[in-house]
Amino acid sequence: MDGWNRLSVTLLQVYLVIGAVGGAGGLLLYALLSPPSLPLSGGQGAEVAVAVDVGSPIAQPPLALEVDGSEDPGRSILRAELRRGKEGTLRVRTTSWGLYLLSKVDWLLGIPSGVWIFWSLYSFLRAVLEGTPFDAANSRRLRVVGLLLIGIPLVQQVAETSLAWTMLGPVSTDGLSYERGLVNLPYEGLFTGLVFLAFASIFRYGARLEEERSLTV
Amino acid sequence: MPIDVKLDLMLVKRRMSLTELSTRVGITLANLSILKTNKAKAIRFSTLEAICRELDCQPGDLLEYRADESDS
Repeated sequence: MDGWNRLSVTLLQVYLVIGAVGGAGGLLLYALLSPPSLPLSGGQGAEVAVAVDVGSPIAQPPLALEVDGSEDPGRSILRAELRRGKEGTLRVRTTSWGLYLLSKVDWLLGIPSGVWIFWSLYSFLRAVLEGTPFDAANSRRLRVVGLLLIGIPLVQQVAETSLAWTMLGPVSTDGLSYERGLVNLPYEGLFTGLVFLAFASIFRYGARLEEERSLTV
Repeated sequence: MPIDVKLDLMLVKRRMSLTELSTRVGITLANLSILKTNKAKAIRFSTLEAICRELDCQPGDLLEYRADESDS
């Protein structure tokens, strides 16, 4: 058991040094400098209106895009072509700081919380190696990890959906289907977070037993 | 805690230090301090037996029950 724990701690140390510190910094820079992206899915071609602050759209395959001239200078009409069942990404630039920050919520929350989760797991395994697995600190670490795994994806999904509904709107939907932003509950994160909360309860009970044992003379 | 440990009184009566008792009964000084300061949650019979043997006393000389004020 000690061998597996030491291997786990070593792997986490390597990940923290190379991945979380170096990689996270690079990813954060890339994310902040890249234009906001909006997920699209659904069927045939659909016309979508783009908000005033949005321009220079870039479509990533399999999404194809045309921009039509519009009599109204405040609106651009895009024609997005996407086959049924496919998902594509529309990247747009915006001059609105509110929309820009809203588009970065997933990175701004995701990277620090990811680093925090790995650091918590690393500290947890270190405590196990030192022979003190059942203490209040370890229970708290598992509880925090569980809450982050549940809360962060929910916040990210709300931000993504709000961004899509704010930046895009259908012009014509006769006979066509088009989804602005996806509303997908992060089931994997919710389930994993609940598992961590369950383990936190178990370790809290274990910490109580350990305290009673240590105070038995 | 309703159970009061009178280890310090017995040590004075027998003129023995906590360190000496710790050496004689084979229990760490830290654990005996926990017992002496009424912080212990439980005591093993083997520990009680060893202390009573070294201090030449009865368990009742070491432990006293005091009802909580809320019970009276």
